[in-house]
Amino acid sequence: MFEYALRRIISFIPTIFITLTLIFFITRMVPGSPISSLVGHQAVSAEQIDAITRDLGLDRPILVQYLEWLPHVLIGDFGNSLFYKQPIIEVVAERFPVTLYLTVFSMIVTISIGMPLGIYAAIRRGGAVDYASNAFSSIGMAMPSFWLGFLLIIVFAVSLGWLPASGYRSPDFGIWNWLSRLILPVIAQSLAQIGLVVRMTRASMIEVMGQEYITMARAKGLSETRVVLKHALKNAMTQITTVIGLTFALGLGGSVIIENVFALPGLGQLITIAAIRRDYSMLEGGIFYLTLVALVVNLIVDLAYAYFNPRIRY
Amino acid sequence: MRKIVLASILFFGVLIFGAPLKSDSNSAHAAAAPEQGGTLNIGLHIPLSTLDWQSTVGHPLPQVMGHVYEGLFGLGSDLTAQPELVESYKPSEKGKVWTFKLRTGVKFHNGDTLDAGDVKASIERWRVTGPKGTGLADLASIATPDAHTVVFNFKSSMGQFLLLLLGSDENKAIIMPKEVADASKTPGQLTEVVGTGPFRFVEYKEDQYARLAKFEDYSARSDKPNYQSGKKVTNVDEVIFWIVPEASTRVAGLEAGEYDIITEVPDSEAARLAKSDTVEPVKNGPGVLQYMMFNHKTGLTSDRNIRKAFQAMIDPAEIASVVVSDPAFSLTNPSIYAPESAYNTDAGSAKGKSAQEYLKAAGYNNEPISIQVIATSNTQNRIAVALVEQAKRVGINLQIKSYDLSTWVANRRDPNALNIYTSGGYWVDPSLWHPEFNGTFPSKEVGFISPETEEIFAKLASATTFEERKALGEDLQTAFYGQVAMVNLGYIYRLIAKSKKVRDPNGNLALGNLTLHGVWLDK
Repeated sequence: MFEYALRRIISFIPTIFITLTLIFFITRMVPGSPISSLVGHQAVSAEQIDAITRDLGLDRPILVQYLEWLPHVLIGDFGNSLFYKQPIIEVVAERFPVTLYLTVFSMIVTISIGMPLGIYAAIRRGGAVDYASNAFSSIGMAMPSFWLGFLLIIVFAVSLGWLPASGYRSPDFGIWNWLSRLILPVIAQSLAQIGLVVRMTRASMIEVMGQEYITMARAKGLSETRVVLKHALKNAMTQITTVIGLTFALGLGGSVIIENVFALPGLGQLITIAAIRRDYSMLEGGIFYLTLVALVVNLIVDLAYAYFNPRIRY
Repeated sequence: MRKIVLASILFFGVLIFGAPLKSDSNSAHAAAAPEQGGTLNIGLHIPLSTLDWQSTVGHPLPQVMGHVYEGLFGLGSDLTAQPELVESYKPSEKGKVWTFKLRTGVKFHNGDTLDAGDVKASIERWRVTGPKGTGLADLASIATPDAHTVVFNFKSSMGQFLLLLLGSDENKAIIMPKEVADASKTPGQLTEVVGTGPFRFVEYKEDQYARLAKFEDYSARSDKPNYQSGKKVTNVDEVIFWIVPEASTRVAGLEAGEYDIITEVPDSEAARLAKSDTVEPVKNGPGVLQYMMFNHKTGLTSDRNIRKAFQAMIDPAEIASVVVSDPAFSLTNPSIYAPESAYNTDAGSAKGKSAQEYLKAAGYNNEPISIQVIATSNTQNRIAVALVEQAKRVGINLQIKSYDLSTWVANRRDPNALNIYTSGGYWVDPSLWHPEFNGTFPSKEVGFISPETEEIFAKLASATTFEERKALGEDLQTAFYGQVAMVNLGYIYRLIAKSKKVRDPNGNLALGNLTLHGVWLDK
């Protein structure tokens, strides 16, 4: 297991290298420059613009910029944000908790609802719950999260007044003040994920439940609960775990939309603003750290996969 | 359980029918005397890119910092310059020397008392860092003969425009303590946010909120409240500007009672908000001129006949109908000065030949002409679509090029990339047009520069009576129309919205950038 984990960690190196290279070139291929955003509508001469461009090193060939940039970022040094005037790691560290809360709570909701519903739909195949969960997951996956977000705001914040419409408060403002502002974003984020997990759990469970060893377990007189939870679910978990890992990564990406709809100051909103301002280092750092989290989660998923299915360790 | 069922019905009702549900809160009722205290929560449409108001013309600095800082002059409700930190002022006969007597006993938020040294240091910083500071190019020196007297010595005559230049809230010549101004030489980087305004700056949490608190030692003027001047009354204890970039979220937040005031509301919401029991729309002026600007240096649009053809083809009423959903938010007016400005005039606006005749004179042969728009700007996109249709009718091959903001701004300085762009703004004084037409904005590489208009601007600089300035304003507008420096596409009004609990006895919210003096919360 340790050797397997080590192999997976080593495989991070080319992934990170390729990710960094793509981030660098894509951000610079986008039209516009940070100078335009920095200067904005101000009265600045062409000479002053040239001077700022030189100061930022943006006048040199892109390959030279890349070769100078890469050694720094490989050790996590993305420099300072042009707009926040702070080291990237500090800005990311301030914003990351919001995205983490959103993603982790969404995952908790997704797993808590998606897995039991998928299992129940599989063992009661063709029943009312199966049809209802099928319809629910289809709606969840088809509905754009930003639209769902606005619907939730209209119903639960504007009409019923049960929950705040937007914004974020840290836990320092009180647990309920903090938590209440995450409920609607978490629901908006979770609904599509639940649909995916329900479908995958149901399909995996149906496949496993049809196998001979399950019939054998039943023939031995084991209770249905024991058959489902101990024998069927453990084998079905290999596929379900993969989907959960994928869902977490999608959730991190989806935070860009949800955080903007609900005015949550997380990494997703930070990346959006950095892209608009062409704050290259902020954009690169933000995307990189999101990618890094996704990679770490994938590693955890792979290790879990190996736990549930020992054959793949070798 | 019943609540859950009710919530489900409401949720799926909206899901299925897509109809917004109406809040059932009771309407606020009027109160006679201002109530004191409370926190005013504002839903702001854009984050602060800097805390240094002196170095930017960008929003939302005026909305936030307009309550923290004061200048020598501020805008009055008639959009003229009114004394703010100045007690009295006197120009010399030829307008080369301006003497300002400062109010005494004015406290900064750090406890220091305002004196002439602070004004000198602040103005000298603004001259260098401020986009509008270029207007003081002819300032030879600033003298401070005593603690409360500041004397500006100019190389050439300077008219009343000086006062408006210092007081315009777009990039205000705000006054800060000398030690802060001296220690903050780099534009965009202030060591401290310390002003003399009725609110002191508490904190800015990047992209989340800016918090201001009532300044208990505020030294108010004694004359009657007059928009950004006169006696500024502070009724609330605290103002928090929440950054909420998404318009629908701001509107929902207002209706849910989280925000008391929200900025930049789509005009399509006006009719719906007007029916609400708890919130109300506020039409915000002055009218914002939408105008078409050209590359005057290279390409087809450098030919005046081509520009004349555009001028002749424009139907502002049709453009207005495309740009705003509610006709109450648009106005067709030929002037380059805001409809609310005393300088508003129709001088020079009579149309000449037909667009086709101008095109023929230019030898135009259906070559493509591009209009660049910011992809995310609804206004620009709608205007561009209307313009393309109008151009097609007269035989101009106008094509839309859509860019992100950053590229759009960069192209405005690039003579090889630009043909036409549209923009918006309001001008309440003829002199304020100068930066638009002397190569400042837009840059000298593409902008309109003409000896005729420069001469008018020079006369405006020394004209001291309104009558003189009014006549010169008409000359300027006539020159603009004659040379097609830009094309007037009509005016639109902005919309903000507020809770009915917010009381605004002076009507400040209906004017310009957000001004909260005198506003109070009906509890």
